[in-house]
Amino acid sequence: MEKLRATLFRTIRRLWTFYKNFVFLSTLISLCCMVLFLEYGFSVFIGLFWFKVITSLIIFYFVNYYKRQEYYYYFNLGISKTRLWSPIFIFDFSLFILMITLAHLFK
Amino acid sequence: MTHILEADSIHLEFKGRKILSSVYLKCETGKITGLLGRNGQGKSCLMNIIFGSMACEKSVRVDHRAQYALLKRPDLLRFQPQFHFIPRSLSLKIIFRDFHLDFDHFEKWFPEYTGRYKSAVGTLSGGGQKLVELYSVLKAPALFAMLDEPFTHLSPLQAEKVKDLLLEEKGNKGLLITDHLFRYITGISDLVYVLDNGRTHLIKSLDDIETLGYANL
Repeated sequence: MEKLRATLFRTIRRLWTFYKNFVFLSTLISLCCMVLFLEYGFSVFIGLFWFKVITSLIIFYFVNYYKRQEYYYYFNLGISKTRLWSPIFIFDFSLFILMITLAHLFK
Repeated sequence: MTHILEADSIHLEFKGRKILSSVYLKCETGKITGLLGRNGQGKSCLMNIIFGSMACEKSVRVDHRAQYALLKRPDLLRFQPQFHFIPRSLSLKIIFRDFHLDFDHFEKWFPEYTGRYKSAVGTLSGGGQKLVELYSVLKAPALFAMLDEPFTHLSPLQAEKVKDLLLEEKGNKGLLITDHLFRYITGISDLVYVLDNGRTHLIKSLDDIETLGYANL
């Protein structure tokens, strides 16, 4: 159990090291979406959703280009690009949905 | 028990130009395998293909078992590319923990790092970063390690120490190394391949290096 917890903690730390490269920008975009949702409601949800998708793809493109050398650090630890990006995308999108849900609840 | 890493049937082309076509390379535990070749002959590409970070037609095997992406198997192979690859914000403490390494051993070899355990790798000089990267890949537990230009950008004294470190580590794993400082490579390698016109040539004597047009001895 202790070993499992240590592995989990280590994996999260490694993912966080990579996510730190763009967490500020990504969260700022989600925050902007939240504010717009608060202002205009469900009528803009589809637009905000696609805005988040497209900006995420742009971030992916730039990080993939400017941080491509750092991938080798993760490769050397057995973490492929897919295993690096998938949990980060899932977490980032969940954060976006959570922020929109909170905005809906407090509207 | 001896372990074997083999690579062959590799075909790599860039815009119709054949880079690698008839390659056979073998690396064994307990031995250092050197890879030489002029610029643009595909040495780094070959290492990336073996590692799985560059896609192309290939056959890479460890102990006769096909491996499609060794980058997912750090227990089998680690790779030091020729550029800095460790995120600059990481401290030596985290790096050594990630690679399961003992800082005291590193400090014994390189006393200039004393007191830098908690420093971020980005605060070190270019050569300093290179040494940390080299040591991490070289000493981390694995059957094989590939080093792309381990001697470049190091001072002569550091290069000598790296040479000794390689000789020490070859007892634990198989090493595949390439560098233009070919005298270091030929000095410590058990096998040397020269990559020329997309083919690997296993050299039998140092004269072959000159015959294959790589260097004047």
